[in-house]
Amino acid sequence: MNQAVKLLLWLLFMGFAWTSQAMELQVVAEQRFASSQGEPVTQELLFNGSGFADFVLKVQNGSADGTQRVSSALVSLNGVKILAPADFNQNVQTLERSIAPLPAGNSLAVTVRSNPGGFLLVQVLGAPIFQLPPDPGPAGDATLEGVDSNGNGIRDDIERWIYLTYPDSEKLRRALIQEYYPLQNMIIHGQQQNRDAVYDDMIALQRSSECLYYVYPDRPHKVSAELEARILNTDQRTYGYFEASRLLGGGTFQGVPMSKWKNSCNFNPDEMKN
Amino acid sequence: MFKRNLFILLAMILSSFTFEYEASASFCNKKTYVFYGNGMFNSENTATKSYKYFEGKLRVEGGLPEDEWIFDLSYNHDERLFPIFQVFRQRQGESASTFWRWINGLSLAPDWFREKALELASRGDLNQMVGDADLRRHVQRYKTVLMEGSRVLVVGHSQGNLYANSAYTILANDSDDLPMEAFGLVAVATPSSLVAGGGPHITRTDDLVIDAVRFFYSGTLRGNVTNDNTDSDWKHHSFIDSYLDGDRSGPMIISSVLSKANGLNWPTPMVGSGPISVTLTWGDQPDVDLHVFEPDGSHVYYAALQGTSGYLDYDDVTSFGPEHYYVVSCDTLAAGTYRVGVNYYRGSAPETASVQIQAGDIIKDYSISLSQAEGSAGNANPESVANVEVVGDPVNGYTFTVGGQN
Repeated sequence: MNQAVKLLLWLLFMGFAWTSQAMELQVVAEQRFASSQGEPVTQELLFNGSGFADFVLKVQNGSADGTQRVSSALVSLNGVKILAPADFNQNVQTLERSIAPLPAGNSLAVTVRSNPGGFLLVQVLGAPIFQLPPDPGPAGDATLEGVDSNGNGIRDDIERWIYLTYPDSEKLRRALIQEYYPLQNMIIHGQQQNRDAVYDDMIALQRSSECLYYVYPDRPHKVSAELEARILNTDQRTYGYFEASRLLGGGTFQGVPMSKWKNSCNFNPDEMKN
Repeated sequence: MFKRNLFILLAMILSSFTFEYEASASFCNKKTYVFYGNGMFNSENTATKSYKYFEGKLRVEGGLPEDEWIFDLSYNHDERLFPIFQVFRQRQGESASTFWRWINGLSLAPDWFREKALELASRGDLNQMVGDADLRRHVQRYKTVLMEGSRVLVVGHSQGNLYANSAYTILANDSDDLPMEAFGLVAVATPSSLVAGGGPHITRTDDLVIDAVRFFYSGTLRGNVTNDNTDSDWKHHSFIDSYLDGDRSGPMIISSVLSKANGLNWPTPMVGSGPISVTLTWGDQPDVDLHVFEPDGSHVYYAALQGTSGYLDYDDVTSFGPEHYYVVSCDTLAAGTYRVGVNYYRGSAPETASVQIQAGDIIKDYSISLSQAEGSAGNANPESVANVEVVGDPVNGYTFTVGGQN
């Protein structure tokens, strides 16, 4: 095989591998809907599509061995019919449909019309827009520093919150990441009683605040307060922050003129479309 | 993925630096300084957001020239945040995030929390809510700005008014005979019975925190504005949501601030002002000296008042200070390191030196414990306070960093 053919095959393989990775779907929401005695009951699965794209509704009819299947059901998303009774019978194992949920507040209504004992496993699948670290769970709250499994300098719980809450605004995500650092550092430096470092954190907070006001002028203090609440989610983190506040008492902190607030960003927000 | 990681790496690198800003020719303009004194239950983040929001509103609605109006935060730490958090923890098993959402008005707090917060807000002697060390630093900053020839307006919110009133009293009685006609106050949601210097006040008639304070202190100024619009803060006390965004209180604050500030006199400069100023104060021991080593090695202190870049204003040998070191012009400013130190020259007991360093837009405070007097033996190697790093040149401007001991 000559080198050109090898290169072509390699490129084809890499292209396939990239495509496979890009198309990998994750479970956004799932619920098991069982049939019941009496009149069919409509049940709801509520979910947010924030942070995902290319959604697919996947319905598994009964168990994998072919038992517990239902012969009729109705599935609708936000009032729009996705699957009708005619789509189901005892021979149908799985059904898949592309769907287009809203970023937030979706209602998937499922009505199972079958004898008791049957069930549907309904999954909403989506391709994650961002490659995010997993939810650290309680381990993320065990230390002041938290868990940073991908080593990018941001606590995993905060990184996930920023990206999943604001998937549609790159500049706001960046402004919040800039804001994250002084707030998180204040916890550490406050606990260390490092007054000089806390002052530097406070000065950095002035700049990140100016940036946030430039990027998101519509009530940015609310967004920042929610970020602050999430960063200070444990008693020890709150105590470290209190210590920082005590060290800052009596300090005066100067802002830069409003016309230069854009320059307070450590990125160029005007280069971003959203 | 790679681009995102690259961005995050860059963000980390950038965030690890102290932000630096150019010193500009505007040092020579007449300036009005507006200091915002934060209220009770304010974290450092809430206080910062409040004064930025205030600045934005005032600049837009007042059409203020950028170079002539400077906005600063005079931060005071609220000791009540700790006990209210303790109460929260005793009653509530939830994440600490819930506490911050309740205290910042992001979600409605239950009755028991609201009652406890209001009880803590009104408990104790109002005068004892002012921390001496915090107040001393504020006063030093106001005094420096006044002496440099700028007008000073302090806009206090809630507890910030207690600091502002106390600062006014101290400055009015200062031995340097300060130009108090250039210093004014505007009080928002004040728990106090007065606004020092006769400034205006704005208090909502339904402010629950001030109502609670007035229950114990009948002299607390009465509410004088009622909004028609609603606000998200259950206390009706938040500077942004309850006051600045109020349909009546917001315009009232803006007009009061502009009217008060524009009515202040321009003081005659008593000292130099410029890209660097260092202020030393101390207690009742007779003599602590300020020392600065300039980038070219010049040692500025009581025996050599004039340096290459700057100068020491005088040598105080009768307690308290202040002593100032100034670099008053970008013409004499030099790139390099300015090393700031203090020497405990004469005294019989341990002393504490307070040093405030302003370099460009950066202001930092240091507290240095001095165990015993060193006399002239300490001149060559004074106690280190901080280094001011200056980078740049007269054409492209200068940037500053200030770093020192804890």
